[in-house]
Amino acid sequence: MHIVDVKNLVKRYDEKLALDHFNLQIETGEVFGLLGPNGSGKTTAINCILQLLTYDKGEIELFGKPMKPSSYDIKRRIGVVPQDIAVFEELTVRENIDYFCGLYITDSAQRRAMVDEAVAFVGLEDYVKYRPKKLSGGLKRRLNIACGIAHKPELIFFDEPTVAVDPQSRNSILEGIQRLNAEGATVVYTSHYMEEVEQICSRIMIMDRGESLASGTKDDLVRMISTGEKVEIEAPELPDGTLDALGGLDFVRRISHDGTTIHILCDNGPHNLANILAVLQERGVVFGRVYSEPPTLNDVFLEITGKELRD
Amino acid sequence: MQVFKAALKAFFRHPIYLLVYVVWLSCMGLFMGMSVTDAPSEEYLERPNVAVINRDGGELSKGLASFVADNSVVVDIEDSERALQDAVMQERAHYVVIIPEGFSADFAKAAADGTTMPEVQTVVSTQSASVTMMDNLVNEYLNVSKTYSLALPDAGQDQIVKRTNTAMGHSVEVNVVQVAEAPPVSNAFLLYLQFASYTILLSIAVCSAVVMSRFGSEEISRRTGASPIPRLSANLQIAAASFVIMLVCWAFVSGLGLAVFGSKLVGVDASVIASGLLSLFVYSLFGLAFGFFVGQLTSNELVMNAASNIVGLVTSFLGGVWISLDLVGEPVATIAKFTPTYYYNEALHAAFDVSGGGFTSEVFVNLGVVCLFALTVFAIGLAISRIRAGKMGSWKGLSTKASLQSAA
Repeated sequence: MHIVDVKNLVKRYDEKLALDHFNLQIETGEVFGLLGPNGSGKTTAINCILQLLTYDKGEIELFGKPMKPSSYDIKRRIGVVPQDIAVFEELTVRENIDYFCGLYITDSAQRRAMVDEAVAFVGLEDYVKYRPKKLSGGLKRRLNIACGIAHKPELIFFDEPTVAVDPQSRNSILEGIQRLNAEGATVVYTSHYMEEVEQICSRIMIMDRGESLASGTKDDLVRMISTGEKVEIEAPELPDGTLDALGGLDFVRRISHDGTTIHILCDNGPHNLANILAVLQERGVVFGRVYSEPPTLNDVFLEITGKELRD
Repeated sequence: MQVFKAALKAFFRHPIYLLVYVVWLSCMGLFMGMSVTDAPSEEYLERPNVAVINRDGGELSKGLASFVADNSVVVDIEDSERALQDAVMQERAHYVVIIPEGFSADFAKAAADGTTMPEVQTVVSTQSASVTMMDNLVNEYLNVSKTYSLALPDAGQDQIVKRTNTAMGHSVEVNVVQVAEAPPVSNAFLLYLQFASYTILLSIAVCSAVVMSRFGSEEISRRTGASPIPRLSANLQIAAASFVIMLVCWAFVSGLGLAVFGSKLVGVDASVIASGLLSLFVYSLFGLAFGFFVGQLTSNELVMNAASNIVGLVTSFLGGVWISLDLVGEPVATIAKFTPTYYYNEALHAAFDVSGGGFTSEVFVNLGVVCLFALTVFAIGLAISRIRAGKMGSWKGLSTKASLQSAA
């Protein structure tokens, strides 16, 4: 059974097609990443799944049951960490977490323990009596997360939770998400930061213009494209014709030399690096360090969409 | 009750609003109330500046000029058209009496013949109670002279003038005796309640708007929408919290007024006081509706404060709190009828009417109009809320659609 099952979801904003027959299946226990540039439809998809937005067509099932605006039994099992920080400036850190937890858990004794746990989870023990305006951006993000997870949901939607936070807080947030997953929560994580998705997600969907372009594990996605490894070789001096010889190799897609380093983009192939080095040795090129990097999600995105992920 | 409790917490975390709008403005109302006295006032009419242009010189015209001089401050003005115009324009003379040549003789002749009496020409520069009174006195003097001339056809004009002066010198002493069973409501308390319209509108509107805007913000709204709390339940809890805020403000303002002016209300019929407080309560509903309206328009607290202050000042002015509507022009008085404060004040006056106040039909009619204003403003706020929800494509609109679907 899929914990999230979305079929043929269509959402329009007037003339603009925000989701175009969008399909999504997520298994229990996964950390599923929705990767795409801003405006690709990630947040719209989540809002439709959570019934915060109407949609024109499609079917949504969560926990094997149809999701409707009045599916309160399903909503009780879900946690949401929205992109924008959604807390009350008038309430303290603890009161905020307690308020949002209280929307799910009515028993105050049970809630107290959960709030304590959530505070400890995000490391805000020293700030429980602070109001949000006194917190830094990173701490506010952590509070935002605590408000969404305090009631121990089985399925948690994180919508770009690391936007505008410092690297330290970002790492802390990502580690926290992995811990939640280790404790049994299924996580849906949206981001336009490729590195984050690569770091924590077991499966990834690449989205653009409201469409799902590809999905699978990172390795699955990389295998889908013809772009292979990227090779960089330090070689300040190149004999004439060397670049042409390298460019003549049938697996080389693009080659350039910036004066100190040769940059080569290859097709997928088993012995690309060995063949390149053989050409250099034949021509007596003296070279230094050699780097070989497998294709990244950005390469996948670039090949599928023809543009950089962060465009 | 999670939403309800959080809303009240949010409200009490703005002590500055409570302090400034509820406590301080109430104190201002107290000071204003205390500044008026309930003792019968001794009316005093200031004497107007009057110019008499006597082109006649007869006995009657001299008598009239002398009478006018006794009852005004006479200013000397040259008998020329330009001088008269300047005096009137510059308000050196508030009132001008021009006695035409041959007036006394014509007067005597008309009295003897029974024909139309000649008239003096008058010019009014500044319309005021004292000028109106002066004009009445001049007319009265001429009427009395006419009466004596007709009654005593053989009397000389000097005798007519003498008798007229004697008659005009008579006055009657009037004693006002209060015959009502209960004493009237203190003017101080009435003024306090009138001013309370400003206090109540401002305090309730700002405090409730702040709370409503918090829960109505897109971020909080979406997060709450994703929770298992039904939208209707959340809305009702916010409404209940706003109602409690309204009650707190109303109870404080009413209680403070009763505590301070209580001694002046001893013996006053309880229903009279109760109807006054009911009027304030109904007006509080308008404050609540206005708070809802402002809360839908903006989440910026500065704008909320500014809008509530401006509307509070304008409506209280138009409602006659700062200045009696009898003293403003007809257009302003007409515009005032389009404000709820006007009807609130009418209700207060009807409730405290010495000839039979309390829960009268006039009170209820006026309060009914205030309720209609509240409903109208609330409906506009609701429409704005729906439009915003539609623009956001948010769950507010969805829940309506969903309920329609489930109803179908």
